[in-house]
Amino acid sequence: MAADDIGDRGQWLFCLLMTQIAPGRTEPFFRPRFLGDKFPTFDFLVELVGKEAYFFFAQVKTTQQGYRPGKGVKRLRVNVSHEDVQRMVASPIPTYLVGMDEVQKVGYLLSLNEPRTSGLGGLPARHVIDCDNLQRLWHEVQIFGPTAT
Amino acid sequence: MNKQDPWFIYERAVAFASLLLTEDKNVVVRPHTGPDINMELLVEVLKNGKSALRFFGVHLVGSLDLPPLQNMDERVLAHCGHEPVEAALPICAFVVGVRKPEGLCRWIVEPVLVEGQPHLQQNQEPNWQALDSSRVAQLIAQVNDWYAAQKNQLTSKNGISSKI
Repeated sequence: MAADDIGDRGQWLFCLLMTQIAPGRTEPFFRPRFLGDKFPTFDFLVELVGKEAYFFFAQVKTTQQGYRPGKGVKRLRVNVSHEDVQRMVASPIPTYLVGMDEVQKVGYLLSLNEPRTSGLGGLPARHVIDCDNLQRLWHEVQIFGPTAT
Repeated sequence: MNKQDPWFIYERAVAFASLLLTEDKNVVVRPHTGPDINMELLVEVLKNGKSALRFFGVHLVGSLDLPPLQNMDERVLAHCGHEPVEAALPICAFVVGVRKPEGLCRWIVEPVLVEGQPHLQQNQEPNWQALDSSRVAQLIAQVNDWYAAQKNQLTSKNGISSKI
């Protein structure tokens, strides 16, 4: 499958996973807004539903290549350049890297709100995008980031 | 789609439908925003990875959960109207319950072959089927067969060699 096609599928999968409706709710926690193909580093601005003054940026990386072993947790085979990592870390708006396993139809979140010295070779498959982690993320973004004015 | 629906009804329905449709790498999905027509997605079926202008439309109807089967046609026709749909290409209805998500589908304007000749048939039968990978593959195959028959019909009418 062409890289663009995998990317498109990853974006649809990201939208579907991020807008999951948790049990007991009637609306999602988040609303992803696609920034366009030409926007540097980031793919989505993601609003918190019900707290739209709060949002974060996300870069979505999609792969069909699966995982490689890591220290304690397997790592999804996606890479992020040192330059992109630095831009994400330097952002005053909370930023997250999202890795999409296109084959298994799962996604993983990684916060890039702490300093890092290198690029990223593989994304730890630790924080799967499920309703529990979405709820945690909804609260975490409010702690981390400045609001829109 | 109903403009009064919450935003996530449309967005989740589009994502769900697009993911299903593009499981076939020869399928390209584009949003359609033309006025006065109930068609949310324009789907192109490539031929060996290349554009052969083989299109069909998808009319998306979304809701939080799937409505009862007996209400399905009423729900879809409430958007389309009860008059025959004027279309020069096949159109399929996808009804998506976005919570799970899950869906049902049926042709509204069906591409059929009658004695090998391509026709577009207004489908009045409420023969809803589960919207899943295998059904989508059947839809795509049906579209491909229809366009292939149409091309054969055009080239034989004009006496044009198929090598051109």
